[in-house]
Amino acid sequence: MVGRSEAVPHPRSGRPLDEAQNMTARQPSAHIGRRRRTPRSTQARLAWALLAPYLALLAAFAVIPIFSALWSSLGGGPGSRDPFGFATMARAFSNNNFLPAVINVATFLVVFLPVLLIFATAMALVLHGRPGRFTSVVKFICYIPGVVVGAPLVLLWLFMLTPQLSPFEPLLNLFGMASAADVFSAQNLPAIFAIMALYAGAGGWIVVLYGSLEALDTNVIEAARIDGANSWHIAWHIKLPLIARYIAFIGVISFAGAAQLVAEPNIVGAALPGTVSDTWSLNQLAFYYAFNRNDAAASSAYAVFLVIIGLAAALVLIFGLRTYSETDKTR
Amino acid sequence: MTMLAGSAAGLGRRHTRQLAPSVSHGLGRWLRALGLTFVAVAFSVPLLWLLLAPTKTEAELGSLPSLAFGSFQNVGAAWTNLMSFSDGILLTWLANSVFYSVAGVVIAVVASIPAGYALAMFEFRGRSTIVVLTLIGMILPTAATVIPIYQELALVGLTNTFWAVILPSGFFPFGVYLTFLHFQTALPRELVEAARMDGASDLRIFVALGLPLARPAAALVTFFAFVATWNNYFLPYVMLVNDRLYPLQLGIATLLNSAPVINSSNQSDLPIHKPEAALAALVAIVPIAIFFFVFQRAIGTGMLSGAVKG
Repeated sequence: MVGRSEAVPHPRSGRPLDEAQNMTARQPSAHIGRRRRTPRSTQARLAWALLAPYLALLAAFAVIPIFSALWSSLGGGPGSRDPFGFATMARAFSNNNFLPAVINVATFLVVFLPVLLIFATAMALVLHGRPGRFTSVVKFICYIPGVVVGAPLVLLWLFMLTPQLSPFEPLLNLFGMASAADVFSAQNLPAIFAIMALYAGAGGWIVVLYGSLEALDTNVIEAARIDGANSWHIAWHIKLPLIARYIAFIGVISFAGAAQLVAEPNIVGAALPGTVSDTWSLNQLAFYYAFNRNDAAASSAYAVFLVIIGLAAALVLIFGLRTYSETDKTR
Repeated sequence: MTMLAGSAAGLGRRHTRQLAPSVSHGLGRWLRALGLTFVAVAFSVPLLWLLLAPTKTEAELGSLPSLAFGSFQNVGAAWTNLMSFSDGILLTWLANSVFYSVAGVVIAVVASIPAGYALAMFEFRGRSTIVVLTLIGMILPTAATVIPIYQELALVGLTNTFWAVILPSGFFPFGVYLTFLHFQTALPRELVEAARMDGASDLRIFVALGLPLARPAAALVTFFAFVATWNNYFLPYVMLVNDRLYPLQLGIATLLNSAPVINSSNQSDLPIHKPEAALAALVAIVPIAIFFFVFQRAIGTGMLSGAVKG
């Protein structure tokens, strides 16, 4: 009962934030409180009172919707057309739209994630190799597009990928693309969504990785330099292994977010009818079944699938990589 | 474009000459400067194009060089055209975006600060479960639960109302986590114990010590919750049908859909073309960009980068 919280994983290195957390885990205040005849139950009661508004939101917008989606996907919802059990899931996961959506999202992830990780890591290492005004300017320029998200992002790239308008026209022509129709073909869509996601997202992660490099022990790097290592060796053999966990963290968190892809295909599909199917991504599929097919049970099955993907990512981060408690000090 | 590339390369060159001890080093630095300049151009040109687009007419966008400046009259004309779209509904969308974001922030802050304080300061049964649920909640992307939340809100008749956007936006576990971290380091134990010795109750300690010390955490929660709500597309897309309730994110998608912006087969007579669409996008981007930079100055770049949600 008095057990230390296992929620925030034990740190591997004794950095300030971690020490602070260990301190709370010991909770000296709780003991003092008891000695001063403040009953523990009073503290617990106050804690629950302070938590109440948040817990109400947590229940209303996470716990209840997830469990009701699970219930509904098992055929338990009102007006379900399947018997209770796995019939709804079987129907949802075997229909003609599910597999293509999985393939679309998987292709997007396969294009986007490696490029994001390699690009952000390379940029952070190259920038960190020589700090200075030029470095800060480039870092800042990469970071600004982070304010362009969703509909404005799609609109911007619709223009950038239309050869007649784009400053990148020569580049597009180089790839044999002379019109928007050439660019927005079905096989290019994963790459197009990856470009959008990279443009808006890479800068923030470059800053995070740069921050994690700044937090490294400079003695190690100095020692290597004295031993004759050049910048390339230092980046590859010393800095990269030391920030590998942060890169893994970015990989998992980006995977979780990217698997939910919905705004980009949805808006491109609306702006250029016929280019993107209404059920291109998994979230679009869930939307389509809920609102166009009026099949809440199948929609719930897709929602459960998406929640499981996100949950898996969360569990990997919390218990596998044990990132939390550590990552935030780089921010 | 060339001007920008030139000046950036110039910056790099100065650096290179000053500090190049050997030929191979010099070459490496040249490559570095070249590569970084290329990245900087690739990242800045799209936004620069968007800023310049409303200064040109539809025809000029195709005929003038892509980063040329048109005229300020064209911006005025584009604005007039944009305002003619559904009686200036763009301003309603802007007001909605502000309202949803501010209301979402208020709920997020009011719920997060006491919750984060309680998790950091008190030991009680169930605490670690709540911390784990909070971590899961902040990693699990909100899009995954939007449709189940719709089904739930439909039961209580809240869909297609502003509540359907504000309430789910107020659920912000990342804010609880930030506050939790903040109080673990910000509130000295000695101070709490001294207050207890003086006979202050835990509630009084929260009000007199905790709340005033919560300001930095509240600022961070405000920043992240505001940006998250402002940029959210899928939640309002699912919840709202009435276009007068739309935030800018949905409004811009509507513009793209209903006017012949990109899709020339759209036979609409609306005067909404590419310059107008670019201007509308700027109306959505500029406020959040200003918000970004104001907060960045107040809190520091490192703190604001990389909200944990995808």
